Amino acid sequence: MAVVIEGLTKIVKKKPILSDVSLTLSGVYGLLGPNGAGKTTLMRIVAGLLEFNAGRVSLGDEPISTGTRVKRVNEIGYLPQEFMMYPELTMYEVLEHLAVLQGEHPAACRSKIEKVIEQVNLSSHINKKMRELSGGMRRRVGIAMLLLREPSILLFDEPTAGLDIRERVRFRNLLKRLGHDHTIVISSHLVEDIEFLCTKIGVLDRGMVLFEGSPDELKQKAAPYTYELDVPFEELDSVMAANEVVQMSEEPSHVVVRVLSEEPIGRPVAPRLMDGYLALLKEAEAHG
Amino acid sequence: MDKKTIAHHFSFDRRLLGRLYWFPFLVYGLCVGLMGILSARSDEPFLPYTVIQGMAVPIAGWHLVFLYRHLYDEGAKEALLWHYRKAVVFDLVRYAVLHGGCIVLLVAAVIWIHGTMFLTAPVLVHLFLLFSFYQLIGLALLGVFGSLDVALSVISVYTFMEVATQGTFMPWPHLFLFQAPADSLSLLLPMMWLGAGIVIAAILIGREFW
Repeated sequence: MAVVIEGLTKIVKKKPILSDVSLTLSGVYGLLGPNGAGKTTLMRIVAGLLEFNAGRVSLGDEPISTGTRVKRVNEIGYLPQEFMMYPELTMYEVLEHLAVLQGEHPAACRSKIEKVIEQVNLSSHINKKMRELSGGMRRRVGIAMLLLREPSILLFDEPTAGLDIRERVRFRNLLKRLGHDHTIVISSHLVEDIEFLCTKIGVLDRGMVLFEGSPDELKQKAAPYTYELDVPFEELDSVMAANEVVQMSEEPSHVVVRVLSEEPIGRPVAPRLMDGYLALLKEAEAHG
Repeated sequence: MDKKTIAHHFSFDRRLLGRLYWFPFLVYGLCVGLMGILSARSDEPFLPYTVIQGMAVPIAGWHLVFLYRHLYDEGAKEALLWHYRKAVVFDLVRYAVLHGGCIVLLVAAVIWIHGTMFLTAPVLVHLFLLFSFYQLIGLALLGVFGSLDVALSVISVYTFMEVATQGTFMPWPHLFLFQAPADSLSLLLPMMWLGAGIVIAAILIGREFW
């Protein structure tokens, strides 16, 4: 199921946070944008946690916004960037209580809880107190909480922010698995968070939509500008100072430097998602 | 909802609050002692009845405020709101029944000592409104301020100042009855303020959870 956003505008203290945003969130959707682009605001509006000034939000064909607010519907689940809850209770106690709040009978919810805990790969930590869990584990408990509610659309706000590399990989794999039977929206300012994961991407900058389309279409934004240079170690500093370097990889005798350039330089290469994203931001910056 | 589910809710709340869970019951015990002392010194039934209004009724909202404060921990509200919106009415009813029972026992104690003369129908209606107000206002203020400290400060400063000055000093709405109402106006005003407070608190809670 898709979330259709049309002409959404949010103004705070006369400053536009979102300006006429229209997006169709479907599949595994990556919402990219620099810090302060309005991603969290957009997610919170869609989750019904924040009011907006103008626009419309629908679930498929059915409008779910009335006036300036999105109704809090059961189909949508939202996981905030950071959260802490019930630090002195165990993960099982928390999930059991939330299952009972959802209408499950206390005597019959154990198997459901064990199933969602297994889905998020936390079975061995079931009796740990919430305060003893790492940030990544806590976020996975957050997913287990969402799964108890069984929403069909899951919104994740910067899900890998602050996680170590192993947790990030684990979290990305989990999102990939969930993407098989849910619509997933991942907001991030890191391209690597959504690369290889998303089927569709939207880019926000300063509250405006810069792009919406497939990862390949975003990559193509950088097709005319992406080059690689083989740079001797001693010339690396001057090359970095003179060009917009996107990536570097070290070889035994030199450094392979990937740059975005309007002038032909080095050899043209196939652009990656990061190149397309940066080219798009650069283009937006040039147009003010 | 069956007994086992209700028992689960109370048991979860006890685990969540730990020793704090028993605090309102301790205050009810103190109220009984204080009412006994005041009744021994005077035949005026409104003295012990003031203890019920000024101590027991406000403390009856304690559990809801302390249970729901966890919703305002870092990011918890955004993650838990969907679960709690189904439970908030049930929680209100649960604790209204529990504390309502305790208040009825305390009123029964005053009746036992002083007779039923003071407890006219309008006074009873006022007590019901005052109890409903304190059940809702803590939760409403918690939602408005997002902070337990601020919500508790507002409630306790108001209640303490009102009781300490017998509703004569501060230029704000007076909600308590410190003596038998002399005329209909002296009863009507507090009841009007309470009614308005209950409606506003209910709207604020509704906006927070739905």
